[in-house]
Amino acid sequence: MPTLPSQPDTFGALQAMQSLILNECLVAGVSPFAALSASDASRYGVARSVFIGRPKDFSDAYLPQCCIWLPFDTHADTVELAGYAGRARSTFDARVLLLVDQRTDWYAAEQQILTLRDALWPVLLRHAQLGGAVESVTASEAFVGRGLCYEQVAGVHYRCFEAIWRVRQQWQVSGGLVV
Amino acid sequence: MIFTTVRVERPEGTAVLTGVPVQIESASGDGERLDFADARPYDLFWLYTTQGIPLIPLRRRDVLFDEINSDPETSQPAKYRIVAEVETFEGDHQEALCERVVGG
Repeated sequence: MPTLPSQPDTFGALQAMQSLILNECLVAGVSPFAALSASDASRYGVARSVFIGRPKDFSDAYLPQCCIWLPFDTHADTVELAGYAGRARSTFDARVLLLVDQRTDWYAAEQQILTLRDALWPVLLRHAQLGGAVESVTASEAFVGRGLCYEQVAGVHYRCFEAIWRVRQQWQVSGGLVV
Repeated sequence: MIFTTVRVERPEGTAVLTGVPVQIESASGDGERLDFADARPYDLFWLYTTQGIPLIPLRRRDVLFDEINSDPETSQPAKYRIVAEVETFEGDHQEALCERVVGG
């Protein structure tokens, strides 16, 4: 049996999601997400607008974009001990939010969001453990979240799609339980 | 309230005008507001052009960078995004409601 890590790796799991979306969510063979400026690419460590979290400084230059974020929802984040030896399990439901610009041509945006949705689903469903790179991750699965929807940011409506990517993690509390 | 000049970007990263003289004043009054599922805190400002209507008139979603003053919380050039329809007073000036994100 493999050795369990001593703590969960939530950011690592989100980075694995980010990497899978950047590399495998493709339209006509290329990533459909907007290229980042050199300074933002350096800040976020990726070349395209697939963000971990919702960018505080939302930019219209980064559309289409994808945000992988954890909502404020106590039902979307659980943790439990699985025995006195100190094994722990947790589950979180990340939201994968796609945004496209519908201001100039709503019908083009409608086609674009459907294309992105169809490119995203195979990525979410294909990987049983987020690619296997994160030691604490034991399972991943996907569900429809809000599905097709709208978001308003800074007074502007964007066409969106949102799915849920659920991740289960397991780890061993170092030294076991203590009094 | 300040008098300054701004660079207009449409979208952010693509400058369409520089050196536009404006007056900027706070429109918040009651602390920061939240947007984008609470991820985006911002303050509100009114921006008035002070030397007529710009060569390329301002419009909603334009991003304006203060060319003189920096954001006191980030030490970066203060950045404003127009968030509502810009009111144009024919042959005189424009007025725009803007948001400035709090922090970086």
